[in-house]
Amino acid sequence: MYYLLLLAAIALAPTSGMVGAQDRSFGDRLYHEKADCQFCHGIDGDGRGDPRSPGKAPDLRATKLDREQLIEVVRCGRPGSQMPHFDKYAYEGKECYGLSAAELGQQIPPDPHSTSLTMREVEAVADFILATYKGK
Amino acid sequence: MMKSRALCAMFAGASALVLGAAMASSALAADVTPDRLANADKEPHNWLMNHRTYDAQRYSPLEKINKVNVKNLKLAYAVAIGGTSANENLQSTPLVEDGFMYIVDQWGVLYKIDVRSGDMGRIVWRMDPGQEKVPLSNRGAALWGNLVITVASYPARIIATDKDNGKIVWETNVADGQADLQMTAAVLPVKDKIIVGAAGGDRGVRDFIAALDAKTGKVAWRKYVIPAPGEPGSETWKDKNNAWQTGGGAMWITGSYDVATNQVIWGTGNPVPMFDPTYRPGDNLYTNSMISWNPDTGQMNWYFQYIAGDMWDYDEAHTHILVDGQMDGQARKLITHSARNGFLYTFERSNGQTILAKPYVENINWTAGIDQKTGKPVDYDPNKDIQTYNGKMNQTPESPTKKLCPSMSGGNNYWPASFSPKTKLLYIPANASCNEVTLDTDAAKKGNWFGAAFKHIERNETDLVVADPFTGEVKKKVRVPYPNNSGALTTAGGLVFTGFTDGSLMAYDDATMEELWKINVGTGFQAPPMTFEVNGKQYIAILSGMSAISKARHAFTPELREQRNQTMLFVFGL
Repeated sequence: MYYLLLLAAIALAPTSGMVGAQDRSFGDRLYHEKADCQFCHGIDGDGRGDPRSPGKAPDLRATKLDREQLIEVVRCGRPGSQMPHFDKYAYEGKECYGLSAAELGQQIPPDPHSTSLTMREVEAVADFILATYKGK
Repeated sequence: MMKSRALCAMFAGASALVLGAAMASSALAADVTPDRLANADKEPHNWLMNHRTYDAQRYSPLEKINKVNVKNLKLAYAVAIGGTSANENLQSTPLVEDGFMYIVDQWGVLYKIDVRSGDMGRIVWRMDPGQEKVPLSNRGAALWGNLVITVASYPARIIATDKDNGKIVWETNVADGQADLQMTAAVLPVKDKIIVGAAGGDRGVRDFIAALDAKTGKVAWRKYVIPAPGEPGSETWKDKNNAWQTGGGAMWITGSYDVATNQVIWGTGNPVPMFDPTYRPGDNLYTNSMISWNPDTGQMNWYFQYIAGDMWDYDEAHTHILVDGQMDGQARKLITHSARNGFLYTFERSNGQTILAKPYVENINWTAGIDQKTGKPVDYDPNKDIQTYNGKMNQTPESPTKKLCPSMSGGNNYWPASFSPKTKLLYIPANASCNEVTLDTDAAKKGNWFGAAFKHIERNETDLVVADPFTGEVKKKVRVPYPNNSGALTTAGGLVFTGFTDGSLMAYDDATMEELWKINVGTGFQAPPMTFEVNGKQYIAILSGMSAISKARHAFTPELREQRNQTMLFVFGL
């Protein structure tokens, strides 16, 4: 009887936790491997990346950005800094900060050294940062 | 029951036969004795140590591939290496002994590869040390006796592997409690000891040189680059931050060894935080130095510091090449070093006395020049705790952003120059670009050891510089529009080989620097080329795969925006 109840409890349990775990693993792999965010922001997200990484990557544990803002920064980069734009087409129009590549000139964020990301991947990275580093 | 026992016996017999055959083939390989290493130049078909010979010239007497026929060079075979995670790099110089190659990937995994057939490289065994994460690089293996000796990081270890079966014989943890210590340089076997240089200094560790007993792995001696309070040189650390404990001085690259005078010559890295001298006022001995050590005892014979209180990451850990030649009609035994700071130095080998220091990089922006007698920058002021040099490039809290020329990467760097005793010239792959830093004096206090932000500000290109180390004269320069993070190889065939980050491997005429051969493999090079001979045929070998740092050097190279990365061994033959 006890086992039947347990099975029923598992079957009825909300699946969001499992989905969240999958998302976190996806974002984790993107952060540490495919997108290689850890090179600048550090393996623990504390800004202690490789000393020879370009720029001055902030401590993600101290970030004040919300999900929407994090997605924007990962997608569009930070103009005037070494934070790259992971959306390959970010500056083909004016979808990022309302600015075009021509208007940004030398201030345009660089391409990532690793690879560009899809919007689904950008969101997964942002969710990983929120779940793992922000405020931790 | 009897039947299965009989089957087991048959299987055991068959296994013994296979094992016996394997042992018979490997038994042909003689032990690598100290005498063989001291006379490595007498085994032209082999490449027995990281720089091929103790003098670090990276010159091969092989000449079957030469100026006449190099145009016919083509890919013989390739082997996939590493691949444990994305964004790996390979910086190992392959070793070859009698038809077997030894290389190391970024995870510290040692590979023995059978290269005897000439049409494929078969991996015989792999030894995986189980690193927790990757260091910046791993630059290769060493041979001693019947052992292949490698370094591993996280935690920092030296590992001796049986050459025949790939099993670990001894393993020594050398971290000394420092979690961020990295081991990147291939070790240097000298007589009955294994000399190791520690790195990872940029993460706020205190680096050292040490000697291990080659048979047991027991640490025989260990000397820290940065002196503890009260030790000679400690007076050059004038801070109140205990910076001596985190001051770096990394030995990223394998040193050289002079058999005649029994001294190991090893370069040391920058002080840390690397861009923030306000954290560590003083000359910061023995960072940014060339140091002569007695390999038997660890006694420092002499030292020469290139830049006191460096603030531009101009470390001088890369090769110090031993050269013999004539100066003013006199036979001289010298050391030459194409420094990251843009000057080519030549020293007396016996005592480190400066002979000359001439620029080989254009637009040097940090000093008015080098005193030809002392080797010190002419604007060095012994009364200053924080140097300004010529005052144009020193970042300060009041003026934090400065353009660095040479860039923080040099000049020459871990991509080694090569000296050809045939032409008596040095072939230096030199970064030809500048970049920019902005000082951040709060960084180190928060545990960020770089002390600044840096960025690329222009396209990174290369000058292949041909220079005479006996006069300091630059004879020729060839501009290539891509970074060279690979290094040079010269051969008796009159060729200079080198690789570029765009995936090109090139061969040049060592007299005219005319491009004689080129192939592009589509993935960038960050490892030096080498050459070997097996069954009477000469080959050129090189590993591909670039680090994030190297890839970031393509910031202003739009045509390589979509270039991908693969860690591979490529072998070329006629």
